[in-house]
Amino acid sequence: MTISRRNVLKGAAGLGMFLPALDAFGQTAAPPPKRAVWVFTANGDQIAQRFTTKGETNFVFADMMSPFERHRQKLLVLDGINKYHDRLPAGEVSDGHEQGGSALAPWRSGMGSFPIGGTCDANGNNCQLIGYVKGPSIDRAIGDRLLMDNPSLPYRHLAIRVGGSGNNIWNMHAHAGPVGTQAPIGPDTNPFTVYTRLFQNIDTSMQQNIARRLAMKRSALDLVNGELNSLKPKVSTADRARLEQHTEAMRDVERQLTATVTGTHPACTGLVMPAMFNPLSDSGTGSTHEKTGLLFFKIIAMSFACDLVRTVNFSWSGNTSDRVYSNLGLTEGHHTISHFSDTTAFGKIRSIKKYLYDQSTKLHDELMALPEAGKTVFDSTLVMHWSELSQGDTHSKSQDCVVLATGSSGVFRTGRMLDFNSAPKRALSNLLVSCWQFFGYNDVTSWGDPLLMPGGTGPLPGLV
Amino acid sequence: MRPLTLLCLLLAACDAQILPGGITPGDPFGTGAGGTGAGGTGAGGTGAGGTGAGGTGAGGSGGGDVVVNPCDGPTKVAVEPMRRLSHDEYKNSLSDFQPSWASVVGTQAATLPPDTESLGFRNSASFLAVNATLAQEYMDAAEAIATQAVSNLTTLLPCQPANAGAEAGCADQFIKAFGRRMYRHTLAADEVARYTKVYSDARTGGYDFKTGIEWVVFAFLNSPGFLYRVELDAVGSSGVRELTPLELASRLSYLMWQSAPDVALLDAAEQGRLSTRADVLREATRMVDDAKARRLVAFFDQWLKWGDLDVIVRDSAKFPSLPAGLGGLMHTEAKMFAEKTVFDSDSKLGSLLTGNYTYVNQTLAQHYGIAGITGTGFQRVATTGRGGLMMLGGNLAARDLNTRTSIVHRGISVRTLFMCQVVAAPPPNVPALGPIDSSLTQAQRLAMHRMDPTCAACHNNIDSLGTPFEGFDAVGRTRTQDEAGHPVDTTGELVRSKDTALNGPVANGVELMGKLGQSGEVRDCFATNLYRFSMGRKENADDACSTYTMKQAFAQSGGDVKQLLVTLTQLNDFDHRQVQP
Repeated sequence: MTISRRNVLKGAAGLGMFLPALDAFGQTAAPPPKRAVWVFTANGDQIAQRFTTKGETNFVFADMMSPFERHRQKLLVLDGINKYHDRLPAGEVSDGHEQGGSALAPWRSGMGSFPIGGTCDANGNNCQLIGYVKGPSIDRAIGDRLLMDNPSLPYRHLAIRVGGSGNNIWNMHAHAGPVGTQAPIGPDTNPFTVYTRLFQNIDTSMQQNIARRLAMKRSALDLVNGELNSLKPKVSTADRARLEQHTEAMRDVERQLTATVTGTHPACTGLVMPAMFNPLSDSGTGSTHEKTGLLFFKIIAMSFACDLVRTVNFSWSGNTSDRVYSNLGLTEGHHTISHFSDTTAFGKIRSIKKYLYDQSTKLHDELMALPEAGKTVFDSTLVMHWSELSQGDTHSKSQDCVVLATGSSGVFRTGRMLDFNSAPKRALSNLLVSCWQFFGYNDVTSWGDPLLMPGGTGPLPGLV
Repeated sequence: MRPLTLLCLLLAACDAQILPGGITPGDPFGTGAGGTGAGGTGAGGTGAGGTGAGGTGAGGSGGGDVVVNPCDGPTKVAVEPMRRLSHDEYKNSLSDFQPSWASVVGTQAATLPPDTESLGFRNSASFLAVNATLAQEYMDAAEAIATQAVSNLTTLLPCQPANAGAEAGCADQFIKAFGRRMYRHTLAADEVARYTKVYSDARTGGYDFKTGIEWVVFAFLNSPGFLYRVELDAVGSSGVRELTPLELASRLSYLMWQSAPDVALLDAAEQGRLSTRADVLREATRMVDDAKARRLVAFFDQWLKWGDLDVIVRDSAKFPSLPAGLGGLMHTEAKMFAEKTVFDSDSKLGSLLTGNYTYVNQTLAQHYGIAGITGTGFQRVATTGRGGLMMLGGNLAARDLNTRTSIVHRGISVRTLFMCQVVAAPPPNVPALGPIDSSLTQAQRLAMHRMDPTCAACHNNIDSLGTPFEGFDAVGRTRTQDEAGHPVDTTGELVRSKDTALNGPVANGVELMGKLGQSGEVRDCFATNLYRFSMGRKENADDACSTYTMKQAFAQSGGDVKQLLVTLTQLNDFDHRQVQP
């Protein structure tokens, strides 16, 4: 695999490969950009079985959480985080999985799409169906901000889900916004498609007829933009907003089509992709789930190393996933099991969570394997492991366990566990403010609807 | 305004069977049940509209009050978002233009990222935008299709340039001919000019004629004019306007065929033969009998959520020796039942809900325990003890779990999909369940669950609509014992139907669906679902006349689904447009 560096700064080509800390003019290079991945696993866990001992530095993971142990010095483990969806007014409360799954976009839900939740009049008429949340998810919003500050950044963000279930209210974790608008983003589910899209312009093995193809696309882009500009003044305000979105998409595409590796990215080598397989061939019990997820991790890490994108919304499944983990000897689906409160059921939930956490930490490994500026890509990356529920049988969302993982970026003090169960009104939204501030956007002190931040704005205390 | 009386003059269904007052003999229900707020029974209003015998109190919120006919007064239609082609519409538009592209188009359309679901469908206009991912995927698809398109220039082009000097003229002819089909109208000069520029870009870039044509095809498939169904209002206009013939042609074609207008329809529109509601009726009546109308199966597939059947899995210990590809076979069965009931049988909603027949091949027949069917082809068989959409093996299995049936999911589907009712969301922080008594059946465990008032609020409305189907296992077979060996109990109860006289206990699924087959609420719900699928949006108050008219006509036709498709083309909502702010 060879990476094309056609537009590398004059004089920097080659040198950059060997002098990662210096730019073309011998100056100390800017620190690597910050990145983040939100890693979702479904259906909550078992609140009482996360730790055998709690304590800021002497905490001991219980078995379910034990896959995290090998990276404990890189972790900030947060227990007792509350999503506060129970503060939403009646009629705006939807199924806990749904609202919980949209928690990276902690806005109020809109109306008009789904018959579970919502309200009707006393006679059961004039029903208002629940809809999607009305605002952007954090991966997208930070991505938008990063693009403003770095106009050549090819991709605003990536939304990725393992598995192909429909793009409905239980499966969509990324949202485009703007605030006030229902605009869920269908995730990518095929790693081969994603790799081709991200790397086709810089991976020389994919550049047959590249000039001809690029010229064709550019000509079409001109036509599309011209037509969009001609149409926009003639349509309604709402339609114009969608055409503006189309225009923005074409701008993104134009940038992406000409994406090049600039500056110093020694680990940006591209990937040797495995033989093609159908990532959607098993909705239930097959083996492609794990290898799809792990292949996505490699792609995410490499796209960071090449600075193609900086925020990723990654999900091992949709919310309410009823995937059957037959590899763990289970016969019932994940969500089905999660609705029971008996010892056996919780044992199964813990085994699923342990397995998924074990897989999820492999993302840390991928990031740590890529050198950058004398450290690794992991050192500038924040990984946040989260779920839509705290615990499945009770549909609770008030005692989440969220695990942050990051290297020596110097933003968060790691190797610690913080217990917010005794510090009420610490919201997931505050934690998301902390994520903004990880990127240096300290001007962002509130994220989402104020109702979901009952303790006030600002980041979660104690992280830095 | 075009009152219902005119509709009745035009619709074959509105014939002498209609009694004064607009009620078909034997129809036990009033009109407007569960409607858009205009429901309830009313005294005889204008024309054939607005009346109802209301025999079983199906009147919804109107409750016997005299209601205003929602079609009185000036014509109102809702503001409609511009529609982007759904992936099915994209695929059909291109495949119908050139059948030899069907394979590549089908492959490419299948890789487009699935659109956002709303109201159960993947064609809800306000959610069908173009983001960066889709834009790139459209480009990838267009590359593959354009490559295929120029692999046979003789077929593609309306001209064959004899020499280099004739190439530009031929490209111009192609742009106009191809553009008329892709844009669903004869291109305006500025539209032609944009594509001429694309062709010129290729030629001045040093590429040959064929490449120039390829670029033109590629550009068309990415263009807003192709991807959106554009309806523009005159600058400075306001109020409600009638659609132009070409706008009608597009709406008609996408409603009836989920595809672009064919040449005959474009010709009719451009030659003044698609101007009136009668013209539209004539064309709709022709089109509903065309094979392309059978794409309506996509409506059933999305409405009843059969999409994941092809990859369904079941626990091999609980369900040993299932035939290979069972989910796909049940999917085929379900789609055939819907298609053949609508297009090859009596087309009645009643048959869809209760018809005692299905379609199986040898493998599926053996699975169900039906004797005497051989071969891989599907054929119609009579059924006993089951019938209709809900009790299709695949429809039940689509609700079920890896190891067992799901009474809850089956019940929810009846209440939300067939009755169009809303189920309250489970509250946050529900109490933990107690230990499971595995000696109990699923239904008994749910009964215990309902003893907790927090749980009962929802489950009282769900469970009794699911238990009647306990006579069918999680792979669609009839059974007398559940997964744990308990005898199955198929009793249930229809509760909270707006047709209050129908509420009450049922012995099994056949009785439940028999009741729903008589339900005005279910009939209106079906019409509402088809309206939402066809219009690409949820109805609202400004649609009151259209939805009222639609439900009236559907009731009067005895629930004729093909007629309902035609009716949809005869509504104010179809042939009028609210000029957009």
